[in-house]
Amino acid sequence: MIGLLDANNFYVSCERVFNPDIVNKPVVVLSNKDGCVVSRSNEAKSLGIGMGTPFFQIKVLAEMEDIRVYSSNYTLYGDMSGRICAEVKSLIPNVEVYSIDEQFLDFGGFGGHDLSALGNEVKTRVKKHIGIPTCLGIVKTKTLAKIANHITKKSLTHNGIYVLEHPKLVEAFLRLTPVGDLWGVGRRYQKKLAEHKIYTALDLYNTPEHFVRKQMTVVGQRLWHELHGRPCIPLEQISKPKKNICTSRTFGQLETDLSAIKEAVATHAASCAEKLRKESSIANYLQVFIQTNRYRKDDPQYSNRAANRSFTWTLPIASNDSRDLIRYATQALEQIFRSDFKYNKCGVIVSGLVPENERQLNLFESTDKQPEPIFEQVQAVCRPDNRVMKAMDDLNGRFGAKTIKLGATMSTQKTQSWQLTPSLLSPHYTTKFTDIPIARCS
Amino acid sequence: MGEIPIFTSKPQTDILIMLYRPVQNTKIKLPIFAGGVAAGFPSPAEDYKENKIDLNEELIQHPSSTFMIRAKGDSMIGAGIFDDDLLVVDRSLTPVHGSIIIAAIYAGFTVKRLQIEQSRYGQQMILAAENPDYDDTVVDDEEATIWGVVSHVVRDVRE
Repeated sequence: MIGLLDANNFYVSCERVFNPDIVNKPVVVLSNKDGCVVSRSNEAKSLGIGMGTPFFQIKVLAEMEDIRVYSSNYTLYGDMSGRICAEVKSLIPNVEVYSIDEQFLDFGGFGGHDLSALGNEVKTRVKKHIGIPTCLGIVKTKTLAKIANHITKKSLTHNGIYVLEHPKLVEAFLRLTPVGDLWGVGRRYQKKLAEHKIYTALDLYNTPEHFVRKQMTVVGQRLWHELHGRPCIPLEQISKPKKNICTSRTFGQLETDLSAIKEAVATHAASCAEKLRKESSIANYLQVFIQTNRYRKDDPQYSNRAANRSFTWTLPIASNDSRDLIRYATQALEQIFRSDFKYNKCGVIVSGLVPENERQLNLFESTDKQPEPIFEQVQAVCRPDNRVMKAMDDLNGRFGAKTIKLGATMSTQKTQSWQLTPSLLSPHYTTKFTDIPIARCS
Repeated sequence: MGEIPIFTSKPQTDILIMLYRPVQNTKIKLPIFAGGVAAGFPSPAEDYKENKIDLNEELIQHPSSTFMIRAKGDSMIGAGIFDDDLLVVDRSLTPVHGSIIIAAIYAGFTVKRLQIEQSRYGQQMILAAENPDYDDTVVDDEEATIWGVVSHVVRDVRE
């Protein structure tokens, strides 16, 4: 049996742990740069605030209804997520961390135990020890766990836990689930299935296997078996190495100026390089994208990806050096940039990641730019000069992020408009010594 | 595999041929005592060494449920908690009569000694101060929840 443990309104719940005064109030957490709502308390939901609502649309309502608004504090949420995982593992050792607020729990090997009692123990522990309320659905496969969890969340009975064993109950749950909500069924398949009068997960469940295979390939066949309670998607306990890393942000305001966008791109490139170094990888390819705000229908629109001008640069030598990535990213930007557009977003993607120690050199190339006498060259091959980057990472690790930055990422007066520091950010309660909560003795 | 450089010494020129590139991402940590005893007597303490004292291990039994909180004010001086002290709070501990606790009240967090008393109406929760200048407060579940139990106090005693 597999369980899916899902934290309820996770970001809001994290804020509430450290702010008891917002416990019964409507609360929302906004996305990066305070763009739109990404987490809502139940009180905020019942005020009709939808997921993804742009913040400016609810600004007035927020003031009228005294809605507490927070910027997203990913440092805090990440730490709380790690705590939940550690807590769960003390009861259920095999856990797949699926996202920041969802984990698959392997209840296999607990034969003879009352799963519902064990599940309740997990939930109670996470609530008491960390302060985060959760929902748990325990079923036979991961796909069913997703469905069970979704319904458990909406259910007012059952205390946030469902153990789905009886086939009749499974069928009842499937009937309530639109086929498009299933794991791995995209809009395209949903449309295709609708043509064959398959609307709910139960319809798919009742379709013969060979038909599903024909329509949806082996992926659909796997899904079909999962719906019938035969696990096809194993638990992944070791996170797969990343295939690519993307850093992108929406600008603080619409941007027309190349130098400001260049600085943003350089910052993203540097941040990609830093992430690469953190996991000892190097990247072979680099992409840069810029786009205008597609919701501003009156503005002329441009996106280099839509315009099919997507540049994938093959780096001469795979690298994780911020200086290299910044250089190539800004060159790429100059190629895709068109003046007279109001841009609202840019980003850098690095891909073709390989471990640092598997760097492929070209036959006539070395990491040293000027060929030196043979002995020197061999040294350069053995020891690429990453000392500057290492020193930079060490200093930033010791004295806080961004203590040392590269010149290309520094704001000048002219360019600093692209970044806006979130104003509604809560303190880093659990990870920064100066930010720890205060308790009054008075 | 490691590095196998081959030096062929000829008069005046040293040529280095690399057959394998060295693996540089492995680190081998050697115990400090294992080195530096090539000459002289081996240290008589070598057989008696122990691990170093780790305050994390001593003060934090349950890392995932432990939080740091700063105390502000003088209402708990009788319990040895002074202004600006650092409190180690373990949420996994079960609060009992006499525990020093962090209570979440509407206005935020407060540090108090928990007293549980039987009254005519059942159990009663009292948040007691440890300073005669402050009053105790009787609270119900709606007014206050117990957020965690204080396990240790850390104070810098330098003036």
